[in-house]
Amino acid sequence: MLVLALGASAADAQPRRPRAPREPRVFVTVGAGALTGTEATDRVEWLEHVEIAVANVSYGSGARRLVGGSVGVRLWRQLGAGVAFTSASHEGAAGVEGRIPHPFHYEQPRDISGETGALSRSETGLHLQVLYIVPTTGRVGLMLSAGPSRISARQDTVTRVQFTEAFPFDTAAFQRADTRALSASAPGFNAGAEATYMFTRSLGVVGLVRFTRASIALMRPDGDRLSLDAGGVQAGAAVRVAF
Amino acid sequence: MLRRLRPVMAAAAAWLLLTTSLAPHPEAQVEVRGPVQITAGAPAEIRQWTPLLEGMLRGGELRRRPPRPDRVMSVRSHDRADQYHRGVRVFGGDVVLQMESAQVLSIFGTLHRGVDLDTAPVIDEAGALAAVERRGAEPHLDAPELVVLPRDAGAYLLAWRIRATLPGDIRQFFVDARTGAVLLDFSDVKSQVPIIGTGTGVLGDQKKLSVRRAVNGQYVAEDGRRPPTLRTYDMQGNITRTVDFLSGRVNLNPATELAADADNNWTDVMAVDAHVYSGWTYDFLFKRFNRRGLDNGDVRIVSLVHPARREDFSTPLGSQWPLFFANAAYFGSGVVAYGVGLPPGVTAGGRTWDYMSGALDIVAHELAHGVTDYTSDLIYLNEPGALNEAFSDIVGTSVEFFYQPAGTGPLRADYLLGEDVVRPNGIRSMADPGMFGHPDHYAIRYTGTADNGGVHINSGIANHAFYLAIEGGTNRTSGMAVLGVGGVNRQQIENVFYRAFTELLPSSATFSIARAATIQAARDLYGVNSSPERAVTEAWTAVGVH
Repeated sequence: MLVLALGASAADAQPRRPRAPREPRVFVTVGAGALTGTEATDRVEWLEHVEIAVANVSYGSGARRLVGGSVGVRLWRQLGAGVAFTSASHEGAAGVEGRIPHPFHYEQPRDISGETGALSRSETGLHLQVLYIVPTTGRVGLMLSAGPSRISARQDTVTRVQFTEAFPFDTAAFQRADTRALSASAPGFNAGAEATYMFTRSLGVVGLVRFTRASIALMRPDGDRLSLDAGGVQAGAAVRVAF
Repeated sequence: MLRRLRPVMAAAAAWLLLTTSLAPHPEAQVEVRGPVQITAGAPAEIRQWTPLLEGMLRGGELRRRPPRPDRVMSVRSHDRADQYHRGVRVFGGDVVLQMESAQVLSIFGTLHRGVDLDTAPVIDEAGALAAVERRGAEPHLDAPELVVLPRDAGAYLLAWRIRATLPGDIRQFFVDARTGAVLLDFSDVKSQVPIIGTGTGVLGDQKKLSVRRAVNGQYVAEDGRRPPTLRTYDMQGNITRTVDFLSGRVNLNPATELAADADNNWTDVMAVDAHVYSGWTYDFLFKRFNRRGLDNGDVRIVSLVHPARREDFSTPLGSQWPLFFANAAYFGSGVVAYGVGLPPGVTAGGRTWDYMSGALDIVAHELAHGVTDYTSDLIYLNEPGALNEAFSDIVGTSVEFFYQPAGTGPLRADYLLGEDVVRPNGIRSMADPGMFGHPDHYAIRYTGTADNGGVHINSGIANHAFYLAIEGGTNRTSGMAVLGVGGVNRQQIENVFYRAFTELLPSSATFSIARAATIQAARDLYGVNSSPERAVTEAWTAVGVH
């Protein structure tokens, strides 16, 4: 995931000199990176052959692409405030293992397993940050950040499994999954650090690591919920412009 | 009320406007022969078709159906009109007008122009129905409809439209009203999706039923999932109707006589068990012997329930048709009728009799007679008749052990026949035929003429041999001990008897031939000197059959 952060340039940490130009107070950062994958499991139930069919779904995602940006302001001495925006997305299959009731007999379910097609998962986060600019010298700067987040997630979820069966119906085979996109948002938090190298007084590059987390409940129309741990470890690189 | 009438009033106004105020369009006067598609959404297009529709309405060539309000856009309504030619409906000729207030918004339809056809049929309804029946279909109760049937290249024929049922299908037939030939037929089943329902059996147990939903919204006892046509008819206690059907004098109408349920939670316990157990028996034959139904070709299975009313037992009907009370019977061609049992407080043989379809072994027993009919065709008299009965008992018991846990009591697999509905103890015992006065040894076989030469009596000899071959034990009469293959290997003995009785036995087989055939089958399946061969040989010897 890309970390957006307000950062202080190396110059920020240097002692002021009487005739030196005024130090930058505002920083804008834009970049890209990756967000570590998360996993979620879900249990889907529906009525099939007058019994309850069950499918246990494992949503997994590898590292997700991340883009984002941030704006930060130095407010007082080494302290500042910022706001960052991140967006991550991923497409991947979900594993399904289920039990399909027999059409003619109670309590004689058939096991099925398979993989869904590509399911989409996306997250957007808005992160408010308190910034602490670590005093340094030279072109290299270091900044710590933490604060509350609001993370929205959209996930293609399995609602039902389609299967094939034929007489004498002692087996069934996974065919495909019906899906429905669910979305929700929840409050969370963020904390991170970033290192800056300023080529000039106003232009530099940033390497950053941030951890964000929010527990999101995706509500299905039937009232069931799928709990997602949104966020994760974000790592990325960015370009910073300081004013 | 006014709100409800508004769409109707608007539709009427629109039709009135259409038929009174719009001038005929010149293009509408062009004579065309054949089908004409109407797709008019723009005002100019609507005006183009108005004169034609106007003329047809006035001339009776278009007849309106009641307008229907638009369920989505309440200010609109939809008017449909069917095309007629000299009072006969043109099949597929109709138009639909969408209206808002008095304004026509769209017209879609197909009209047939230039129809020139004499509408007096040469073939009457009965002739048309006979043509459909010759196709093996059972016509439905709704009367045949005379229609003008559009054919290719603008040709039209007068035809009778008839809905009828074939195995696994409901079709529309169009019979030429001049020649009696079937011009067209196609499936009229709107949904092929079978449905699973729930039901309560005779013993109060819950079961799943494979049924389908009928056109009238009811659920009917026709299995839509198994390969054969498997139907359960509710005879509603009408003995005369039942006998007429079994005698071949009438056909049953699936549209009206199948056992039915409104909410698919079936409560007719007799129908539930007959339908479910017939399906289970079909499944058993397939899973155990890879056999596709009674004829190995998925011949239909028809179950008749409520062939009589219990209260009729004490009337002359009870003595005339005892089969429909304390009995069940296979009538050939896959048809089984199950007795309704005896009224409360009435016993026979010191036992009470419940709905006969409530015992899985009885249902399987009756259907096994169908297997015999299509295979060895054992003559239902004397020794081959006793073997015929024994094979049905063997299949009935095997099906029980296939689906039910071994034990005693209701819904448990054992070697009693019919014990779930004939209480106490059922009607026969394979473990101890003497319990019912039946012989367990050839030396004491019945040799009289009653019961077709003792078909239900002497079956005990072969039944006991089957039992001993599986469970082992000592024959009471001979005192000889048999080492059975054991219950866990019962499938071996089932396979042996199935192979012998369906593949090897002639129609006039004796017990001695049955012994030789089962030993041969054991060798075929499991090898010479195999455990099944030994068990079967010892069992027949123990019951005195050499």
